[in-house]
Amino acid sequence: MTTTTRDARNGRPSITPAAPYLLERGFPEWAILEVGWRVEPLGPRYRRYGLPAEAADALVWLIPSRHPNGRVWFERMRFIDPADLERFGGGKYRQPARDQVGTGLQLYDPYLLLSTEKWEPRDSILLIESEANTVAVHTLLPEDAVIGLPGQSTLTQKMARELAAIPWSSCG
Amino acid sequence: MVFLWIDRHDKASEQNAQRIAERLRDEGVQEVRQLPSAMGMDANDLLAKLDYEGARQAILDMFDQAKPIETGADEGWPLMLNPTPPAFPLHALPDEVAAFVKALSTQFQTAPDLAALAALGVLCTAAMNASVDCGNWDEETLALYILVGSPSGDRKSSVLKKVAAPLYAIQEELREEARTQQVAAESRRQVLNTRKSDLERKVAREEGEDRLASQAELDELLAEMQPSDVATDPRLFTNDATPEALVDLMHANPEGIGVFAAESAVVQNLFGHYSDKGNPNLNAVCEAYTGDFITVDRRGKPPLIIPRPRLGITLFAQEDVLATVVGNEKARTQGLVGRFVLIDASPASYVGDRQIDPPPPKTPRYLHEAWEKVVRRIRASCATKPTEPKKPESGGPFVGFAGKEVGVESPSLSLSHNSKGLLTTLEVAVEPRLRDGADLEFFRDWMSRHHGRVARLASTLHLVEGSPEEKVSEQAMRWALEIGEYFLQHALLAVTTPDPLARRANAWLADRLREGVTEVSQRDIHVGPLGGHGKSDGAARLCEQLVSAGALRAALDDERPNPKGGRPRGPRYEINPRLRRSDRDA
Repeated sequence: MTTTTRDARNGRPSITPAAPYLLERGFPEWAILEVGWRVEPLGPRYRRYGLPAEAADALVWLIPSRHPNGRVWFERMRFIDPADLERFGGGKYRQPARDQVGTGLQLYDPYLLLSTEKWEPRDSILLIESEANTVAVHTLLPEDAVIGLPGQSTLTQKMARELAAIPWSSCG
Repeated sequence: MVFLWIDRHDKASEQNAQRIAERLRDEGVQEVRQLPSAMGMDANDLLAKLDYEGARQAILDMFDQAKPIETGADEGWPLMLNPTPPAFPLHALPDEVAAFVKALSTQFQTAPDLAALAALGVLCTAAMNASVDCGNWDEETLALYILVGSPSGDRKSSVLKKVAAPLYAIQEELREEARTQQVAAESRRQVLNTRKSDLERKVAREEGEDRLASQAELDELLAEMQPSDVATDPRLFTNDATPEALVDLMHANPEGIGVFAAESAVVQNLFGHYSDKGNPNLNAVCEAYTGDFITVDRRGKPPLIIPRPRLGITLFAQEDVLATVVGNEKARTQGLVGRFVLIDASPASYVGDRQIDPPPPKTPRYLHEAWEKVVRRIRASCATKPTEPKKPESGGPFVGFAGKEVGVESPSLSLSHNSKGLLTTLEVAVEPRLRDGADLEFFRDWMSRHHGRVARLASTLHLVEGSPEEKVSEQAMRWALEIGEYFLQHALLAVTTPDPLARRANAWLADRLREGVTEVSQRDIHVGPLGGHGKSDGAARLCEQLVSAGALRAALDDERPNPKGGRPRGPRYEINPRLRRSDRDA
């Protein structure tokens, strides 16, 4: 399946011919569009992720990470082909070096629940591992608030502070 | 409320969940609930593999089943050993031994640990002549070195005396028998000497064939006059000896010698009490534990050669002796500490709570008799037995492996298939924990001997009801493993917290935790573990010691002024929540 849908936020093609990979993983098109995921060759961005030039041809899943102000802060990437993962080593997920984007790991908050502009009292929030699971839960339970831990990492004290800052409606 | 969904539910992931919950709580989130496992799938799997409604319902069900993550109050605190080590597992003793131990403990109002450890020391001494083949070329003697620290006035001497009574009785019988044999041997020696003098005169006087006949008769007599093998003073045990005297005793008593003492003299002797320069002399004691060949050459004396030394040690001393042994650098580096079972029986002491009136019941006579019967039977079954001498193939005396003389044989036990399996399981579990950086690396010297100690114990317990010819039973091995765990917990505590005062303070802090107190002041420490004795400087020093050991840390609000005004508050400390008491007091 190919589509020519464009990202509503920046007008770039959001679903490339490789998008079937995401659709096969069960994500509906609207959910993919909403978070801006793309699957495309890494291209010249390989330097950003500390990869060799050979990685430019690798097909990757690009996961935008948004600042609470709504802008894309940086993009994490994930190799699609296990052979690429083996070829280039390292973890499944990669993100640009801290000195390039000015930040390390961040909570995956595609629905901007941490944005002070969107703050609203909440009874509860679900914290889940990985970006894919975050979007999967949102797809199934769009009424519930969900935030993801980047990859399979743990919650840092700074992330805990950000979560705790969400206004709780009752006993939070 | 934060719900937490982690994909895996192994130990590491659960610990990570605990950490996440703790951090959230630290930041003010009041409740964190963890979702149960999604049938081994993650959220993306549910989305991809189930239909929309099915996946949605599955997640809703998981929310319903979410459980609060227990308060991980331990987070951020160093690991602490239980300050109150476990009580001796009496159920891991054969019935007749356990009954005697219980009765004796009741009579003397002591913790069962004392009588039980004394009983193990006596049993091992009785069985010491035997050895156990653990497989993999690993042969262990059955001796144990036991050091028990206990407060003064704890009646440890009385307990030790009663438990060791059968050894004393057997020793007196052996000495009486030896005395009778010596009288007969002396009489015979005098007769032979008279005949020898007569024959020598005849040889000097006679000529020709008569002289040759007398010479042959004299040669025969001289061969008959070989040194007597009657022991001059057979011994089974001693209370006090220098390291040199211990070597002499082992030489004179090839079936082994036990040291039983309720004082610390032996320890002082080992650590150089009689040495001009105060140098410890630990070699012989260390070698005897493994049954290694001992040869001692001293100036002006014939060499002492002990092919298979056997030595057992059971010492009941003041608690500070335990600290002295553990803290002695040479004892640690040379492996003496690693050879000792180190028990702190102070927390278990009944002093202060003993039954006085009416006096507790005495141990029934039949239990004393049953105990003596057990000790005698083990000693008899482990005695050296004569065997058919094997003829060497190329002439000359044949000496077997490990210095075993052919012609006499000491029992060698072997493990049953199941007991060997249990012992191997222990070894396999312990080995990776001894690696560089692993949790028991610091304790390699002791842990490396742990499985051997358990094998010795299993063999000895097996002999209470079995014989050396039978393989060591699975039951005996299970008992030994349980007692071995008790040994391990005590030894860890003795090595990591050698100071008795710090151990007492830790136990006191654990009591406070049990009462719901999480914070104490320096004054509390002064009044509590120090009993109000000494000056506040002493309490300050103890607090510093406890802080550096990780038992306390300065309270966060310690800098705040006294809300009631007046004098500033003394230092306050949070208690490490990992200090927990065992079920000893439960």
